[in-house]
Amino acid sequence: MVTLMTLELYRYDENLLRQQFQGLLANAPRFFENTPVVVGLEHLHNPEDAIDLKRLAHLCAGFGINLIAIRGGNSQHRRSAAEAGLACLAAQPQAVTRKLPANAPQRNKTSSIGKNAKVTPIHQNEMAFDEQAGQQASAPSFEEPKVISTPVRSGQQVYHNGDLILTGPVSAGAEILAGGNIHAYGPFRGRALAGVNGNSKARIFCTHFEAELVSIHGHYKLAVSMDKSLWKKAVQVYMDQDSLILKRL
Amino acid sequence: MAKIIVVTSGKGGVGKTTTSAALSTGLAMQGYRTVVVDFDIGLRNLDLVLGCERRVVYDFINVINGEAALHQALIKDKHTDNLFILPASQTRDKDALTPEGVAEVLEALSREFDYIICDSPAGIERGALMALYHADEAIITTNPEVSSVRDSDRILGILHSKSKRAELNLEPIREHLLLTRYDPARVVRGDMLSVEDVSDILAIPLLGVIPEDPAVLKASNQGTPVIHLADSDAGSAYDDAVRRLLGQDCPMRFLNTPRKGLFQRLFGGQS
Repeated sequence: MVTLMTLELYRYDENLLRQQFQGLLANAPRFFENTPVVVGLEHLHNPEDAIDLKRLAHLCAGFGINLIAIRGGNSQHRRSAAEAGLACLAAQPQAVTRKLPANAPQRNKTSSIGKNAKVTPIHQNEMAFDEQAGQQASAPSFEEPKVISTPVRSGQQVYHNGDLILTGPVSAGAEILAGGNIHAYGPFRGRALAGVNGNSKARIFCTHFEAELVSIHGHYKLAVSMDKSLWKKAVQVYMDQDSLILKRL
Repeated sequence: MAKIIVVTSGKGGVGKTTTSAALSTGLAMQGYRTVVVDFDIGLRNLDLVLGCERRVVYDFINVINGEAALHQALIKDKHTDNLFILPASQTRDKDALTPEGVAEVLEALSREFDYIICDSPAGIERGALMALYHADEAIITTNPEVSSVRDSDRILGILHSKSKRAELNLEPIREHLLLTRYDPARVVRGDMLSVEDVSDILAIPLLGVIPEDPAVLKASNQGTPVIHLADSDAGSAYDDAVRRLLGQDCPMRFLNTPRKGLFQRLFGGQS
């Protein structure tokens, strides 16, 4: 199974969509970077709106968004998709009940489209990204970072829905779970799981990396499959598209 | 008020009972009134190592159950003044240790003694938890070997979460690492973890390093704590550890291989 970013379309207006993309990219210039994206049509306020998907795909491509498929929509949409060379996916039943981003209690900076939607009430297009919508459902907000200054021993588990900062050693067999990022300043020999509530942008930073396992948003890597040159070095771990990247700091 | 010291390790067979016997004897020899309590209910060994197995009448569980008074169960050590032993029951199991009973016995002992040494059973279950619960200090007995180190690490986590001091949010238990069965020659060959390796993983202060020494087995079989064999390496290493426990500054010994003679260096090969 592959998780894809979804562009939820509420109304189709090319100019406003362009403005929203520009606003988003101003905050996060590499937000899309050739990301495969599915257009969700279940939320169209007027489901009968005609959409020229070829034009939409072209518009998106200008911002580095690769449209690959539509989800839901009527027969006209599916025809137009076929002409534009896009695949058609079945509508997601649960997607219909998902909250509008503008109603969501809090948005983080990366999903600034929701913010834009709030400050410009006459918006025509709203979008939500599937992953972020899911995250909101389970974790409405991040908590303050938590600092652990005692050693974390084998068999101990530390969980915090936010950033976790560890100044002492983390032993083999210990488990560190964070909703946000993990920062470890002592030798890290345990398991580090960041973004456990669905945040694939979470990262792991270790100054002395000897982890048994690292995981971000459920994508994990075991010590046996890690590059030995990273051992005991300062390392960061992050997600790039669907792969977990381990890199020297 | 007595200081309560638990000798623990997680793993079995690393030298907890040997250490309990040696350290309690050492403390008594320094003039402190000391009692050593065997928490290994059902697998009583401490009496053998201290050579008092034929004098056990009542035990720890009898006292907890009110079947005997504390002074009836305490055995006075024959070799060392100031040292008493509270033996474990051999016929019962760890479930006989009740939190209230253990607390009462330790409280009564702490009124009469300077040091209470709790000899913990292996494992992380009831027996071990009861032994460490009241501790002020902990001596983590570890062999220079990965599974022992991991189990020690686990028990350190339990000291932090399940002891009385942790539960009441008091000053944490003072932890000491005691590395036993250390063989510098095997460390040099890379067969054994070094002091630095173990200290790096466990990250607690080092109380002492007890070298691998045939005298330990001999002493156990004779029922004499090895610390009495003052000319043995292990005995002197335990003596140093007792001094460090009492706050004296004492350089570490037995960390290096004995120096080889010229002939051995030229022709000796493996030692």
